[in-house]
Amino acid sequence: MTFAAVLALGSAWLMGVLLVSLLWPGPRRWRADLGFILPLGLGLGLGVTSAIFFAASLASSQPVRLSLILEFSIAAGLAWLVGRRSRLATGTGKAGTPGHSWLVAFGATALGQAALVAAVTSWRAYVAEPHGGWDGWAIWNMHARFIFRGGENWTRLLQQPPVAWTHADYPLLIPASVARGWAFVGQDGAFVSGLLSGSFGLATVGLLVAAVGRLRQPLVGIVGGLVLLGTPFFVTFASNEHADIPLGFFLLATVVLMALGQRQPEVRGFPVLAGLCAGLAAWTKNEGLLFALLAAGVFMAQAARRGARRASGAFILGLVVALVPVAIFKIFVAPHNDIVSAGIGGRLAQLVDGSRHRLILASLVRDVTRFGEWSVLPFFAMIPPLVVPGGKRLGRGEWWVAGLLALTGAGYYAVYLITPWDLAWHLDSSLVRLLLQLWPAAVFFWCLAISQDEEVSAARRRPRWFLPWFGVANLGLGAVVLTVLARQPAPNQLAVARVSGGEVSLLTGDGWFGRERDRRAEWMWSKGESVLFVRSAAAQPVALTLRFRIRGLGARTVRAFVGAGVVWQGAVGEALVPTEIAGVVWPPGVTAVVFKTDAPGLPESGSPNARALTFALYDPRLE
Amino acid sequence: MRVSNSTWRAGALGVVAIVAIGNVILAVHKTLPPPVDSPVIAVDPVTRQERRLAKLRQSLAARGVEGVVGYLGDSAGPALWSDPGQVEDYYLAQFVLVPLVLEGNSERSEWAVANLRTTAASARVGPDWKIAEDFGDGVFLLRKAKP
Repeated sequence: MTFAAVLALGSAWLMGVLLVSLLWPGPRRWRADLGFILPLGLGLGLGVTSAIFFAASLASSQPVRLSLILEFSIAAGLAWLVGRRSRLATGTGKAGTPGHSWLVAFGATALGQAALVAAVTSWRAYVAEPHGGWDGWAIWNMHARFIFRGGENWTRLLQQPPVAWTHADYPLLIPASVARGWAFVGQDGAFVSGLLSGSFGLATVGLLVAAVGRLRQPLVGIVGGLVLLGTPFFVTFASNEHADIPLGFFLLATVVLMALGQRQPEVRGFPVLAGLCAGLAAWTKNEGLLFALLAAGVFMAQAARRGARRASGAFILGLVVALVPVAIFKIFVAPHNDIVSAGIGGRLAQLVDGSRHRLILASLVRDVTRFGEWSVLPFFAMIPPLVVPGGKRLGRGEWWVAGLLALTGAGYYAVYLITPWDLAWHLDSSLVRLLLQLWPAAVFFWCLAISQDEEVSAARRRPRWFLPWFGVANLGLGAVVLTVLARQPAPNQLAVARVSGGEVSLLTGDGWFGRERDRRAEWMWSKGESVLFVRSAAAQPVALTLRFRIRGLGARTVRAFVGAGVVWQGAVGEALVPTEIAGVVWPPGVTAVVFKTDAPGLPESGSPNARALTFALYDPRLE
Repeated sequence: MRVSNSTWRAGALGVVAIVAIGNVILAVHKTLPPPVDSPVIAVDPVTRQERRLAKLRQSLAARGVEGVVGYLGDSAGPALWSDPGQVEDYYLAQFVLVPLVLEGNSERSEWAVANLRTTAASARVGPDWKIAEDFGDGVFLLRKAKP
């Protein structure tokens, strides 16, 4: 299953890499351009393959066969064109071998290890909710299931009024990609959705680092990547199977390509790719449709100012191609959108309703500082580099693209003003996700704004031995990081003992109030009868002593049972008493240790909501 | 000693990087590893419902039931929508049973699914329906009783 899921993603990625390679300005500088081609290839590949799978699912009840034939044909054609283009390329271009400085190497190490830690965080978030968060399963995976399980009737089923609450009008890049992955695998496992979702997060970071590295300095790009990885909401949401991270990727890709296009206005590939990415934003979420229209307007206005009509045509060409599946879906498949179908005309008066403006602005102020779920707010650190005096940093073209983001934010604001839903609920349920969509592009502009184009330092050519040693050192460091993280206890894990043949864990069971701790100790109060589990992964029975300290509220006797046998009993009072349960041989698997007391619980305080406490175990461990 | 702008900027960038790395480390510290498998381990609500309704789904497929199917929760009509827990149960049942479409108003369907947490089937299932299969844990497949 895992191999097939990776194959599904990999084949889409390959097609995207071929497409980007074809449109990328030559002559090819693979090593220098890989930072762009790989992440853009992932997004465009999933965009193209999702559109093909969507079309195949409309035409056939077995879309995977038709889809594979089409994909293979297109990929073969792209590969031929890319090969032909490479042979025809005559220029040599710059060598494109990135320079090296110890500071950049140090930063790259920090970024790589931070990415590893973030990947672990993202993986843990995925395991906690393998089917995704609420919108993940209730919208995106739900629609994917309709496509995958619904056969030739999936469009009719998705149009049924009882499932209107799933927002059946939402575009299908994510659901069709997930359904395609499931078709490769042969079953609708959650792993496919998680893999797809996480890949977009990784691609977003990669694209940001590469883009800033090209437009400014590698070190600034690395810091931008760290800011993104240091946004916990971005990291945990990356595997949460929503469409907001993919949309954020396409927003970033569009503005990056527009900014690159400013540098080389004679190159047609950048505007075509920018148009494609803007269109794929619309194929990802309805908000993306708004962004695509605004992007087209901004691009054409700017091109008209420069007299670059051909660039406008290239952008529109890419945009129109990417909007084809959106148009087919919206015209022939999707039911009406809930915001639009409620009749906007009657709600125009809401545009001048002061209370709505106040509520939106108050929510914005509240959520801007908290949407990232930061432990340490980064804005205070991000502001000083902006105000350090220096020369002109943002070019005019870059300001235009920054304006596009501002317009997108204004568009979101206007939608809130006219929403037919309860405004407070709508804001509470969506504003943080909208901010997350804009965040990667906002970090990109922060990076552009803090450094000057001219500041690229003369880097030395790196010595031959550098890359292998750098790789080995980072792999070693990564192994250390993973080992440390692997030792972090699980929420229900009180203690671990490592024995030959496996690990033995002491786990919380039923009957305890929550775990409490101060700087010196950790403890749990029992509700009266409570259970600990000893889970042994060893193949053979293991003799281990269970040690803890115990105290009670009021004098009482506490007994511990394994099965029907008493393995420990003692009188317990206010004082902490060191205790051990020795002589027990723990078999492989799970063994319950049940603690019982002979006296009822006593209220911990005079409060009417006071807990009735009996006895507490302190710092249990297995030795 | 005069400190240049680029030095200031480099220092400021270093502070941003340190803050970001701090957030990365604190995030992984807060996002705990998955619970170690035990008899009382809590699974996420979606997986729990997937397991709870798995046999119902198999039975519906085996009977060739397609299209729109009725849905009965603990409450009838508008009351179902006023209880977030029941709404979540309904949505989750829909997610598990795709490609069937579950309809709160079950009158036009021959088959219905009863997903009951607190109500006994005898109290909730009216005379129009008979229980075709009881899967335990409040999950029933209902078929319209012949007049």
